Amino acid sequence: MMLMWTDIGIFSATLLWVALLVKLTRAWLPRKGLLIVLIGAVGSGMIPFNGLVIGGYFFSLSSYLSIATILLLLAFLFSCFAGNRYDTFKVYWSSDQQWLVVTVFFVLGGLLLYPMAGGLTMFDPYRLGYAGTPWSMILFGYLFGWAVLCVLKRWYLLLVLILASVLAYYLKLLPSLNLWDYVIDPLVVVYSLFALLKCGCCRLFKRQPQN
Amino acid sequence: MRLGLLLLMAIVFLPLLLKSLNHEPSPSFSLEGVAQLADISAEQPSIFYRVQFASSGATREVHSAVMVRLSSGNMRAFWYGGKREGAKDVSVYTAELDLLTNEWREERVLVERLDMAQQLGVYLRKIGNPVAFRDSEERVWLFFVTVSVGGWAGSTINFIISDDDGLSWSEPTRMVTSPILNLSTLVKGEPFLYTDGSIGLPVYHEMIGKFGELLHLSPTGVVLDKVRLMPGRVSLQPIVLPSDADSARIYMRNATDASDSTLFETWTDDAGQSWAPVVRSDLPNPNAAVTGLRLDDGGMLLVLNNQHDKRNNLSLMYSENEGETWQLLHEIEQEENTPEFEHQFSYPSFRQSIDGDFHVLYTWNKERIKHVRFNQQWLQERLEALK
Repeated sequence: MMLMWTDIGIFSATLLWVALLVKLTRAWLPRKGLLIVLIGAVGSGMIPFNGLVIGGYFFSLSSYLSIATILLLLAFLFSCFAGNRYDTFKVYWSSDQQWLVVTVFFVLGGLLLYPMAGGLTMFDPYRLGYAGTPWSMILFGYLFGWAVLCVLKRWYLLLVLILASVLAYYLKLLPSLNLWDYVIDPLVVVYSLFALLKCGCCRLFKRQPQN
Repeated sequence: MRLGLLLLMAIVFLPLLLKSLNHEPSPSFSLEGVAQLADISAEQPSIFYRVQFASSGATREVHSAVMVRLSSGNMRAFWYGGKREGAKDVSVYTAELDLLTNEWREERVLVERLDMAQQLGVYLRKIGNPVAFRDSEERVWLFFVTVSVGGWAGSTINFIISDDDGLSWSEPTRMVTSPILNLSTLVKGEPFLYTDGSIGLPVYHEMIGKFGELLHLSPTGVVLDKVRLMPGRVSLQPIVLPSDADSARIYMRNATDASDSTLFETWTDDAGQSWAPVVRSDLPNPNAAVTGLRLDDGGMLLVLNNQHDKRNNLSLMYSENEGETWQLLHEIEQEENTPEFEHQFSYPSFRQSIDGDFHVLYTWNKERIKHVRFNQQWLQERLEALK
């Protein structure tokens, strides 16, 4: 089981490495060139340096990425290469409103979790993620509330992320019994924070943000 | 479509709701770690207090020794050694004490950095702080920390398990204990058992904040719960001393370096469901680790540096009244520091062997691991002398 989890950890970290390379190059490369970058990134991710693949080095820094982040990375890569047949996906993926909600969800989650988990208060919100412990109903209510809101407001991108994280938690796809670890991680929070700031700046200067 | 989605959502969230509502009561403390005081009046064995080195001096520095009782009755020690703390050549070493001859067998490397990195599939910069214990199925567990980037604040806890008294070991497991890139959870205090076979692991956080925590692990080592003992930047390295099924005391290193710093203390009377607000004890603490044993008559023994600064003293302290008052039982080490050399006796570990003897292991000037062994007669004579 531990080996499977390590594989998932290294896979998700490799995904991060590939997505980073694609993100950095896609603005000035045609799709064919991007495909070469993708193949190169996946290939380089498998070559060991000093006995460790690149994914292993990334995994050393990132630890286990949340299921939400893994899905977002996969969706990002898919969006770069998907053909016109996937219009519905593309509509939601490129919607500013969908992204605004996703980034607000992660930034809010990060603000609620990390400062207090780092020792700011006696209350540790990370403990809420262990089901069956006192107060774990709070995290359940928080996520359920967001999910209901997503259905009512048609925020389907976030809804998929929340439901997939909860399902992955049941399946124990990560070596943690803490629900927070499936929903959120510092990388997606930092990314969301920058995206939100960028969006705020664009609105302030009345420019359209670019995906 | 919305109705369908709401239905789907209800189906997905229902098991989570049931899990969240299912509050299982906290299991009781097992008293397996409580030291037994024998009735020595019948046998009158001779007084026994011996000092020797457990490590051979093969590495320039050694630190953080712990000891565990094996099913054979012998004791096994673990410590880390290398050029210096945090160096790339640091490994975790182990050696076995023959209880009958009181001789240490040759030490060997157990956890080596590069080998561990390969097994865990990550880059490792350094390893440290081994902590060992024996579970209800007689398996020996070794917890230790690894760091991939930065200092000790970037630590992650791992463990390996042996079911043959430490001759062979399982593949390592990397525990998930923190939401912040799984960083900054360290071990030092000895684990303890609950009556249902689950494990209590005292840990501490050291990134920005410094505070003691308690992990509740399943019998397979998965974290079930995590309890913060105090917030802030002042406490490290808790130790837990259960006295009965529901009660235990915790002592924590004071990380403040203040001139009047003392050990922190808290307690529970509901098997750890709640802990009293942390208070300062009367025991001095020079920002150093402490260890202890609960005796079966309710008394407590602590091994600590009995002064507010410097680690050139190591003392055995006794309390018969739940820590209200403490008495000096014995000075294990007392050396004068000079401008050229500062003595350091630190990171003690304290266990009882199957024959009733007591064993203290500690870092001796960071050069060697020292082993002090004394028997019940010696202890009880000291306790009598206090009355």
